[in-house]
Amino acid sequence: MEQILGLITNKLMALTDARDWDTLNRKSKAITALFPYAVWQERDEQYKILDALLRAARVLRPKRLMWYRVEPFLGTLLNDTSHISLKRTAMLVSPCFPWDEWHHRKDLIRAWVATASVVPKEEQVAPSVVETLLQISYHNFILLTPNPGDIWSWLTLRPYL
Amino acid sequence: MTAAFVVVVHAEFQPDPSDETNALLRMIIHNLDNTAFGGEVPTVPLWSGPPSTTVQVQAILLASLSVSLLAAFLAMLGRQWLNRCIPADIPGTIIERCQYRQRKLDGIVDWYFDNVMELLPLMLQVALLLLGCALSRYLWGINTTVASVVIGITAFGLLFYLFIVVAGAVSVNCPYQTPGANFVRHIPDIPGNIPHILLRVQTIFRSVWDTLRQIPNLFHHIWDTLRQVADIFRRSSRSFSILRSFPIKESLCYLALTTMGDEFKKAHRSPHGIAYKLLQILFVHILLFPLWLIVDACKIIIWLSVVFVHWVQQPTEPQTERKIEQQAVIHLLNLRCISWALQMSVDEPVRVSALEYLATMTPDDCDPIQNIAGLFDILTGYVKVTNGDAMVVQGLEQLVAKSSLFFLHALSHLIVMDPMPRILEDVHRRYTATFPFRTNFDGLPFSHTLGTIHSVLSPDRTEGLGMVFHIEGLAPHGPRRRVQWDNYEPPSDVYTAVARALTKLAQFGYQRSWRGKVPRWLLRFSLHSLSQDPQPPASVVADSLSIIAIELGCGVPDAISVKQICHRYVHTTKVTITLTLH
Repeated sequence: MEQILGLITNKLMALTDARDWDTLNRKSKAITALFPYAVWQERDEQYKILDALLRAARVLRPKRLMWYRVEPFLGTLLNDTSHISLKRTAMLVSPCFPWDEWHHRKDLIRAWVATASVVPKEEQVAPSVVETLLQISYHNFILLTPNPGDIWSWLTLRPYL
Repeated sequence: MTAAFVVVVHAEFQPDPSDETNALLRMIIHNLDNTAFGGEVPTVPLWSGPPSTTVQVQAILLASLSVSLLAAFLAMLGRQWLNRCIPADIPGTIIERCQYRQRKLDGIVDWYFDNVMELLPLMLQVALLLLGCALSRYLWGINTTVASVVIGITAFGLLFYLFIVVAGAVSVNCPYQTPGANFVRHIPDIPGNIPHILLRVQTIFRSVWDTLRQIPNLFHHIWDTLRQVADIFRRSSRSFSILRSFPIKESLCYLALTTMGDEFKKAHRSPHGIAYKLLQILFVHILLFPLWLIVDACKIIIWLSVVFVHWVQQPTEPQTERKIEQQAVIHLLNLRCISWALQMSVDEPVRVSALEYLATMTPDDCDPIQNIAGLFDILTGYVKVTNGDAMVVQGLEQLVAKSSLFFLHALSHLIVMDPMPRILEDVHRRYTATFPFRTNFDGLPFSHTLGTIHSVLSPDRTEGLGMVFHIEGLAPHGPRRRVQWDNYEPPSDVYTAVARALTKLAQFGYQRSWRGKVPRWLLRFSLHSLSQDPQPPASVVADSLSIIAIELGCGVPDAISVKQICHRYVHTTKVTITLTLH
């Protein structure tokens, strides 16, 4: 299994480094299918595959990934209260979500805000949280206003976006 | 009858004595009366051997006779073989008797017994033809009218035989089937079979190459064995040297000298020491010689026992390996029995019993080539489609679930191995004729397995075997039902088997797709499996990752090994099953 994971990671890295848009677009379904497993790996402190996946996702446009397929999984991920590492992972991957399509999803946005409120404020997570926050506020600022001001305190970290 | 003609013709191989007598009489008459024969002077004729026609006729007749005798010999042997093949009173349980019969049947197939037995009538026919030819030739030289009758009848027989060969080749239902008809019928298939023949040749070369590659390993093994033997000798010689190092002689000398008294000890230091030395030598080497001999013999016996003990301890592992190998042979035999029962039996309890035995096995035990036909028959026999909905015969759900899982496993194996064999083509054609394009499998407990099989065997030309076997007029337009993996949580053994099969299908789909893509529904399976918490069995996760890796274009070693696994089946299988279109 580790051998296969290594092959996948290397392939993703190679495609991302080469900025091979065409191949990444064609393989977006496979990249999406890999997403849940990468998150579980992050929980087990295996970071490589998620790093590779996030890099590929950033090269691709969010709409290119088949998020509707993993939406139930994302809901589970954001609402999970047992693992703080999963919440952290959820924050890391949240900028890749298609917020322009999900800006009306109150349940998801509230779950994200709740998760962001409990995640420790680390420098590594801060850029992702702030990027997502800006995306949501751009599309649907009203949904963020009733939330406690704590969510905006992420901006005080002044992350390098 | 041939022998009678041989005797008649054989008379012409010797000079006729009456010819010589007649010549002598003519010479006597000529001596008495010179004008009796005109100007002709009679002489005694010299015999220059039989005429060439006679030699040819005799050769053909003897060939006919030899072939007839050979046929009689073969018939007698065949009678003996059949008597010993399956005796009426086979001892043992029903399983042992089945295994015995299966072994005999396998032997009949492996040793081409039916072909050998078919030679018998063929030889008699050849003998008859030769007799006809010889008679025609012989009589032609004597009287053309008589010969014409024989030639006409022989020609008629020959033409009639050619006619029934052609008729049998043209029509399978023709009752006048002969080996020649079978051969002629397969002549048009020869160009189509060239890839299979080449594949077989390739397989043979590969096995030869594998064998050659094993030679260094063999030498290595021999070297290891020699090293082990040397090790045994070393260890035993060490034991021997320990025994040797024990100072027996010195102890005995010391014992003897101490019993001889002080005077001898003093003499040892005195000028008479030489005499003492001689006495010592005499005592040690002559008087104690038999004792040393016994001691040395004991040492040798102990050394040999040590070697023997080491030798006995060594071959324990090969014995275990041999036992495992024997179990594997019995296992394969049982599978062939089941396969035979599933294919040939129309008795419902027998089929169910065979399936129940099959249910105790895992898919990896199931040889795909042998069992795919029987499994497919169960699938089509117990799953009926009514108004587009698939229904299973009540009470046989578990068996159908098992057979469908095994069928999927066998199908994926064969697809990866060789997606073009006739057996798959027949399965594909029969499946598409039995299950409509939009068959609904929802509601069945094993709907995912059936749905997967449907996706593979569907006439859709964009995926599955539809890409390989283009059957015109069977693929309707419009959307079709796809396998939905939501809430799919089967038992772990089923999950593992399905994931394994899907990985092979993914590899097949990727290789066959002109854009290098794995079918979407297989990726959805990966997504579903990898999303689960707790995660499914490790093998399922590995297979799901393999599907993704195949889609990404990574060279997945596991996927490659699938072919190697399949080759195992091909090498072990000697029975080829041909399905017929019902």
